[in-house]
Amino acid sequence: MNTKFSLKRFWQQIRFHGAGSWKSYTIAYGILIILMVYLSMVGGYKMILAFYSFALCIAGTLISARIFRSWSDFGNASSTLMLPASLTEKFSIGLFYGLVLFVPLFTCIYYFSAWITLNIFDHAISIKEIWRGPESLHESAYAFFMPTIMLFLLVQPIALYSAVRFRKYQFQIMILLIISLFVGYYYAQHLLMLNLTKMLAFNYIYFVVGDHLTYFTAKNGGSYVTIMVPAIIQKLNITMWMIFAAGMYVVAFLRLKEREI
Amino acid sequence: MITIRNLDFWYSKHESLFDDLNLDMQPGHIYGLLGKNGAGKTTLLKIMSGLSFPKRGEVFLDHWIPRQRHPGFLQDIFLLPEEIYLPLINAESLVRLYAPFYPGFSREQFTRAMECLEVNTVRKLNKISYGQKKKIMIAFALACNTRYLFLDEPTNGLDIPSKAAFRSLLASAFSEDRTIILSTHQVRDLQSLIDHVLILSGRRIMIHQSLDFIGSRLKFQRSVTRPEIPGVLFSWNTEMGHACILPNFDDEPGPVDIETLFNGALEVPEKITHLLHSEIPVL
Repeated sequence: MNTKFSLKRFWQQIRFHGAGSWKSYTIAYGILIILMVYLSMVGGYKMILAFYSFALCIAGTLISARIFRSWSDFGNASSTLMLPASLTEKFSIGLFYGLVLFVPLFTCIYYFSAWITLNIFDHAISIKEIWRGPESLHESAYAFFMPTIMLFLLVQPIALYSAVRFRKYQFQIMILLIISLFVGYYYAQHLLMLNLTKMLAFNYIYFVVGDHLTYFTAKNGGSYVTIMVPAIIQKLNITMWMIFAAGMYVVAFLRLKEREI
Repeated sequence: MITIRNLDFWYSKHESLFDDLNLDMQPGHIYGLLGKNGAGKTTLLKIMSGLSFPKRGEVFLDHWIPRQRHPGFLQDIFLLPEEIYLPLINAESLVRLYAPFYPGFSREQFTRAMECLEVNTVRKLNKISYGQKKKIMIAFALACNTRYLFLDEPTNGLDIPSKAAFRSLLASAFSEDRTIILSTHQVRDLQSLIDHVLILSGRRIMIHQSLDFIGSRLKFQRSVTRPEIPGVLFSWNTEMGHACILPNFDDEPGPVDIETLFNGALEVPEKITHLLHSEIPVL
């Protein structure tokens, strides 16, 4: 018997989880489409683009929390833990529905929402143009998608960890963890920037893998200043982020292994 | 075979639930696990299933270590908890999707059990009563044919005809290579099934004996009035008169009233255990 990972058992689990959850997923994705069409109608085409990163993380976290709920309360968790499958397979189900299936599906929903908005309400732009997207997207898809996916890769294991580690108030604790992490990350970045580039970079808003950052200064009546991020810091950002995200997945996995009811 | 050695367990360090608990259980028996509320019946089942981990000591089910939750081990054990979780599908889909995880699952056995328990297979599991859910899971648990079957309060929520059907189904599903543990407060519902009694009390196993052995050492009598028989170890007032426990000096083992045994074991533990653990029945 394959004790680590059996594709047959994994497929059975995908079917089992899907059969019990497809309705809630359909509703969640339906709400997402309506929300994105509405936002793009109200805020314009660029609105949903800006919304993409934010919505992916929020929707992804909610869907991940829904998937990982099977690890939290007694009834769900005992049923999941007693299912004759390996821990790797059980863990992979969360990754499959919460990441492998979710990200492409969400991206399709994004393009579908944009297409609906533009064709029904703006009447002018073709799917080809949507695919090309606004400047930031066709300048560099990497610069657009990468930070979003990276951000999500950090948020998802936190959702998993919270569901496994805490028996009560998992969602609230998860939000608190995410906020704490970002505050910590913000100050770590600030110190790093200060030491490596001798630049003061308070109040900046930037993509973690981007080549520039923008920060707000109160000088001259308040204005945004953009500065270039040195290549070494870009690489360091990506490496640190990846290590941290991978570490969180490992911690969540180990915690799952030791999960007791 | 289930082997538990020097098991210590606690939820809070200030209050130990099991202290140096030792237990051996052989296949081919139906064990009745009894104890007061909070004695640790469900916890013991969870430890044996790998849902909770011993703080100290060892637990083995054959060569399996439950806490490792090996897929092979999980295929060979079914725990039906008192609180049951079921996905939002009907019984037919449950079998189609859940049964492939259990190699010993018998569709025929499941159908027979469902018919016997008179359960509707079409309605979704979230739209049926607790009793109906329980029946479906009982039918499923029996049809899985796992070597270890642990049922926590299986008759809770079952109507009277279903309790009889459950007894008959469990008896027919039993075989020499299976170990069945029934944790229950409803001893009268399951009295006819149990062949070994396990009483948990004071952080340990107080009594772990076959009913035949208990019947050979203890005699259970009922009378309308309070018995004035010398040598009575314990008596209590039931709705059907007085029930008492006496030493059994007869050659043949008599029937065991598990409810009276349980009450007696809690009230006069020294007297009962002394008789059960001594070489010959003496006072």
